[in-house]
Amino acid sequence: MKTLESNEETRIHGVVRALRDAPPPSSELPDPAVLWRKARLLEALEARRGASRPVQTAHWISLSLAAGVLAALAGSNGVSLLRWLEGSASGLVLPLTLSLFLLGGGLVLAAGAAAGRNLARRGER
Amino acid sequence: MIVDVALGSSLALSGAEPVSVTQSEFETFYRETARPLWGYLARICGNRALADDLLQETYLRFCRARVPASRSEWRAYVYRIGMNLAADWWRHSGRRAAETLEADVATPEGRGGESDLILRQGLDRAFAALKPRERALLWLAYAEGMDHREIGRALGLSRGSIKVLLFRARRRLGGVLDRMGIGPEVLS
Repeated sequence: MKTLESNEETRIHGVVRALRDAPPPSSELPDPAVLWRKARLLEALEARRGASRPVQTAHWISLSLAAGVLAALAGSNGVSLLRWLEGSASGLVLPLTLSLFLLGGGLVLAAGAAAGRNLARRGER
Repeated sequence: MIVDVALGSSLALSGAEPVSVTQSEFETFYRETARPLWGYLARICGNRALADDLLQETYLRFCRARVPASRSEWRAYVYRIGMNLAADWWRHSGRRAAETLEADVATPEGRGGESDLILRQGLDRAFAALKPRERALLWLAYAEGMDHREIGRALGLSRGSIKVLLFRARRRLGGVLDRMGIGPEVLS
């Protein structure tokens, strides 16, 4: 039984070796130096994409907020929303709205700073 | 088209902290392994052009990855990347494409006599009749001379299962060869 198995293994070994020893591909393999440079370029591209992601996110948040405000204005029959803001008895609505805008601005600035820091860090490497 | 492949934590082959490869290390390693890896990819995928693409993508990923600290593990690591990329291609291209060895990988003419050529083409067909994983197992074991541990790492399988899978792959290829009338005496 053992001999049979051994014969089979020898035959399979012979087959795979024969296939391996068949003539190599005619096409040239890529130059490793070129591959290395390409890998570095791809890495830099990925780093740039990663660094700009917070800016893009903030951009989308700002756009969504703006769209929301526009929709609210459109749905409130023109200036009635502004009138409501001005005439608000509590006096808190306007400061809250302003702080929301400031928060949005701060978010964009923070995202920009983070992106700049990421790029600088990648550049150091 | 080659899509992204999650290499997963299983690629961390040893406990040592992974390292980044330097350009000179990469170039030396590439010269040692590129041609055998191309042969392996061409055999398991059955397509020369695809093997070219997979080879390039494999080494691009290798360059950018944090590789095992031990250089002896790099070969299994790079074969694993190649195998994952090939598996990803199979998933996206369908089973039939995966199990059909294209004629362009088959032994070209112009070497040896006519009987030798016919024999080689028969071997090509027999090998092509196997499943991709069986081809990979046999190729790594007998063409690359990897031991069970290294094959397990390259294919993402446990070392214990390699012996059984290899045995089954051998029996399957043996059966195909028998049906084609290619006995041990023909190969000697």
